[in-house]
Amino acid sequence: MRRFFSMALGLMLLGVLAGCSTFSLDLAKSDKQFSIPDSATASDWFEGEILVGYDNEAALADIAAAVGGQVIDSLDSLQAASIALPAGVSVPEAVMQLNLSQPQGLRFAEPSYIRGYIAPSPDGFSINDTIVASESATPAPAQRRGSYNDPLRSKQWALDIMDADSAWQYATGQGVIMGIVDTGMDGAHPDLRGKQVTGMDCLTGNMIAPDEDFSQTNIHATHVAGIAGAWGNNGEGIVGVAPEAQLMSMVIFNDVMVGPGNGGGYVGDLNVARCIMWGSLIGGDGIPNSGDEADVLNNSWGGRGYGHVLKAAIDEVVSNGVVFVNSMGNSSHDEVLYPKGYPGIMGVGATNPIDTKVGFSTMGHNLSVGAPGIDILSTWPMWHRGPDGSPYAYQHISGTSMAAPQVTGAIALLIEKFPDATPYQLQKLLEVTADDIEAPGYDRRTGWGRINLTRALQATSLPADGSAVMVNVNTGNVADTDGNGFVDANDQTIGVPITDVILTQNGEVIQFAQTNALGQALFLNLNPGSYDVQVAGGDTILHNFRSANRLTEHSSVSVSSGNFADVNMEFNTQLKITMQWTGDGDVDLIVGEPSAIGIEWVSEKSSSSNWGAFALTTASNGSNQEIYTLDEDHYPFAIYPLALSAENANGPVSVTVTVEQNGAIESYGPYVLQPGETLYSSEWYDWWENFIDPAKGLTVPGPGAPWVY
Amino acid sequence: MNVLARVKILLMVGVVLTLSGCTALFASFDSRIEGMVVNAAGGEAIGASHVWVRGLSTGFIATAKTNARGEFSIGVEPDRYEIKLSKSGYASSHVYGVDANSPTHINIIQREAFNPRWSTKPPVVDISGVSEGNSFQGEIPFRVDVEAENPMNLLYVALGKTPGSGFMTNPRQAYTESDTSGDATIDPGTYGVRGETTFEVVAYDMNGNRTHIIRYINIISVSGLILPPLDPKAISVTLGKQIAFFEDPVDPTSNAGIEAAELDTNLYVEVTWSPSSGDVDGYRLYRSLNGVTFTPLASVGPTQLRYVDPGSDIQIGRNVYYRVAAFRGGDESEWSEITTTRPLESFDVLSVSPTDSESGVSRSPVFRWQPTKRVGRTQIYGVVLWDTVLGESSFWITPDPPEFTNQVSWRWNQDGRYSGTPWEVLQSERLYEWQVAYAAAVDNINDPRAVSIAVNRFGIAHPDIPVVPLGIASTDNFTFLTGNN
Repeated sequence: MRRFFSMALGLMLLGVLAGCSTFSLDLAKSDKQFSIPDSATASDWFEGEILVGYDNEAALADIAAAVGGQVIDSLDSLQAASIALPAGVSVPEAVMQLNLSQPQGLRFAEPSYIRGYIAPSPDGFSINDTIVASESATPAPAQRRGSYNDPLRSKQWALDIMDADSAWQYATGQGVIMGIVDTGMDGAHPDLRGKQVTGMDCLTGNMIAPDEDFSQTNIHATHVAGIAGAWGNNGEGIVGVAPEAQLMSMVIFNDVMVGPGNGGGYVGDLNVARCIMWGSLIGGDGIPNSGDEADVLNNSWGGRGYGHVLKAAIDEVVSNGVVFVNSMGNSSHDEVLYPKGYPGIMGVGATNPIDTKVGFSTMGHNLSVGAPGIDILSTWPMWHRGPDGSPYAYQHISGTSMAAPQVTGAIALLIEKFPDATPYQLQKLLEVTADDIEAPGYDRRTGWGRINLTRALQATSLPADGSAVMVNVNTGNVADTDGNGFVDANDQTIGVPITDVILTQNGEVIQFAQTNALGQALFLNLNPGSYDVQVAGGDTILHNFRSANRLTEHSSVSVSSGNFADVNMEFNTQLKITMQWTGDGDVDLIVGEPSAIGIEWVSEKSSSSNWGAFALTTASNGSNQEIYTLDEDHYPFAIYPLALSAENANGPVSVTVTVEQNGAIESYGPYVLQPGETLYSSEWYDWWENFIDPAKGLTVPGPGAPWVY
Repeated sequence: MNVLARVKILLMVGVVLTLSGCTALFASFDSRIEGMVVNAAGGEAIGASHVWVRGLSTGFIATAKTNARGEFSIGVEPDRYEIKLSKSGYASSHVYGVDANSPTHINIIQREAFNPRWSTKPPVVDISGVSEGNSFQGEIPFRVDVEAENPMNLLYVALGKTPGSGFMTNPRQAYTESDTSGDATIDPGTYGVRGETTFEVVAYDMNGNRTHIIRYINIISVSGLILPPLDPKAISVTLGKQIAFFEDPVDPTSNAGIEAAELDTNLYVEVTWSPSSGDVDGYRLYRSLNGVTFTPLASVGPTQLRYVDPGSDIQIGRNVYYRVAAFRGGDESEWSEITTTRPLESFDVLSVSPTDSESGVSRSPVFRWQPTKRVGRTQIYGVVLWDTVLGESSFWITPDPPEFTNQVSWRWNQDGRYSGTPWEVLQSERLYEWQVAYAAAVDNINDPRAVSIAVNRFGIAHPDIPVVPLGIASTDNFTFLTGNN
């Protein structure tokens, strides 16, 4: 039944999709004065491709067909896939079409966002060539405890300020694997060689052998990896924070992918999701939980745009005990970037030698701790050579990219000491043992402070565990979910997708997530406590909805340490449609109610309404007036198309319509109808009348009709 | 003519004027070293820095301390000098070869120590191939090697001027990833130098310790008669805060990125001119702080019609004057017309409403921002709204982003630019971020001669305002949560 309904809607949507390029319209003109570099206005997503979540393979084929696209990649473990769009269909168009038509088995549809590694600031601090590594050096087995002989150790101010030397008495990262989710790294570097497990090229799914140089043309991961885990006491170069931890390379930025709008070569959320789940849960031997999986993931990357595939993958790995460390970004601002915008992850900002925030370090509510992130000395790909032909081997650069691996290394040390700790406990331990800097207590500039390795490792017990909350947003009414043609006791409510779910405390936003198409939003690693829950949906921009289609609901939840709480929220549309007319004869308001056989057009005269009631009155201004009010029990998750019929008019009539939905009021008309004419809501241009695609010269009608939860 | 006597004029900047009242005090000395110590080209003055000078042949030693404006003045015996600066918490700065055979003025950079616990010993610079008093025709082969206790940071070489960061002092040669230039050459034609000039090297180690070597050399060239350049125009640019461009996708392995990121700069003057007719070897700029007495500033090559003067002695609210001359061989043209600019004050723009973390915000919010200071006659602002979920900047879905002139508030869609689109009102109970992404003040929008730029995060270009090549971040980026109305 739902599918049948979708097909009926499909006709109406066709007009919307055919000519509409929703996000590139030439809007109201003004005197053009600014010019903005292309780089600042480029789309945040890959063109020609969307990501969807699906219930089963058959559904996936239908979903692809619904947008005329082809499945190009799928990830069964998340029931997510990538669909290539046909030429001429934009990403917003396709996402809108799927979310409106809701083909059976669709879990979500979203753009495939482009993300970037956090570009380090090249601060120009170069290493002196008298301390360049020897290419032939082989790593000595690291001495487990004690002072290290690495010649560049004295140049690592970050280790001094984090009090690393004493911390290594307690742990060095033995038996811990740190996943470096980044560009490719130079695994053959003398300070990194011999301490790697099999990694993955996330673009191709091919394995990367230990000690392989997969750095392509990029220095990023090599530098990041060395900070977290370069060998210690091997008489060579630097010491990593966790000198005996192992490294796993997950290459999510690939030279092959570098192109317009994707300067970093991001391989896409789907590939990243597959890769981090592989690295955290399976590993190179193909056997889950066999000891070659990553225990902590370092992510010195991010970008705008909430991606459900990425969110689901991160939930999966964090639920399985893996710590997801993410650099905050180098924008200097308090802002939301992803992944750090998701709940459950550990955001890291950058600090400097005098223990203040580095100017560029991004702030925000997901910031956990700060760590050294300016002029950080670390390993450098051996192919990059100086004027005299010798490799630099080690370089200083700056960025929150350099701060995150300090924390990743710290987590590795803690995992060695507390192998059974949860991600929340590990994060909390670093927070409570951090040296509080800048404003006392927590602040959005430096989090809980700059991490202190010795204080963290000296802890003899773990903090209490965190908690989790699942917010379920459902329609208030049941629809014909079993598709038998009737709405009856066997049917169920429907999860509402793409709704914003915000947890607040005392009015302050604590965490944000969106529901997937099952209507679920999961919040992991929450501090135990009470939260207000705000739910608002759907996304009127992405779905090209009327503003009144956005519903809001509020609730609250309390959750204690080690526990999980469900919050159930209900979306239930209130709708009243008022038609007024002047002129000779009668005009009828006709409502297309969804039913077992598709759209069923009903009017006051037909007396067959399933979901609403008609009333005839006279308006205060003397106009004739007809009102349709939706019943409390109604068919949810559907569009109620409308029509104005002048079938019974004797001469020209002038008609206006007012739609009151969920507290928002929108007016349409007046329309002048000739006797016998019928005007459908898909042609009510008013609210959309400026919605013109200049490239195609088309006037594009919006949905016009109410979308009902 | 004595090479050294002629060239020392290059280093005299306004000495006579600013110090005339003090000369009696130091009458027992025949010469004087005047200077200003700043933390960067165009940067902040460093007060209370110890200044030590030593005559290279006489052994004459004197000391002084900079005042709050970073200035010092020392009476000395005529000689070539080395100058050393020291201050607690700061890196050292060493200048070698300053000519004080007659009163001279020099600007010296002294940086804050990156890490005060690290060595503050200045790098030791060894130059081969270019010795004092050498004459050259065509390209000059040289080699510079540096020894430093800290790893080396940057090594610059230039002719006729003190080299520094690329944006301010191009052209110059930079060696960013090595403590040696290797065997290199430098082309006098690129620098527009001829006759007596200087070969200068600046080296920074990673703690900010600086060594600056000045050698006087002679460039042999042909001579002839030439015409002056036309239409000189000076525009001062004041920046509200340090230039930061960490978001720019720079290739960290490229020299360009490393050089460009190097300095913070707050005030500079951009001088442009039209070329002289006929062949020239280059142009020479002269600057004055009183419009009467001009002193040589720099020389540039024949294809360069723009010079950026980061001069640390340029002051807010005080006119600075420029003239340009063309030269070929030993001949120099008449001076061009005078052009002048009076730099504007710096300012910042703070976001007012919606406030950071505000909730229940109207779906047609009124955005308000406030400059910290009223600067210039015209202020121009650009504001950006981000949807934190979709990642789209709503102002930039249109090719015509709103621009606000002398306006510090805007109700969402008050001009109807989003009417009839899904952006007509904001979504209810949705998280947004907003920021002032562009803020500039100009003295005269129709013919700007002084510009003060508080914010230009994304490299936005305005047709009337010089493009600032780097991003200046906005101070505030506020997150807010809309309500239902």
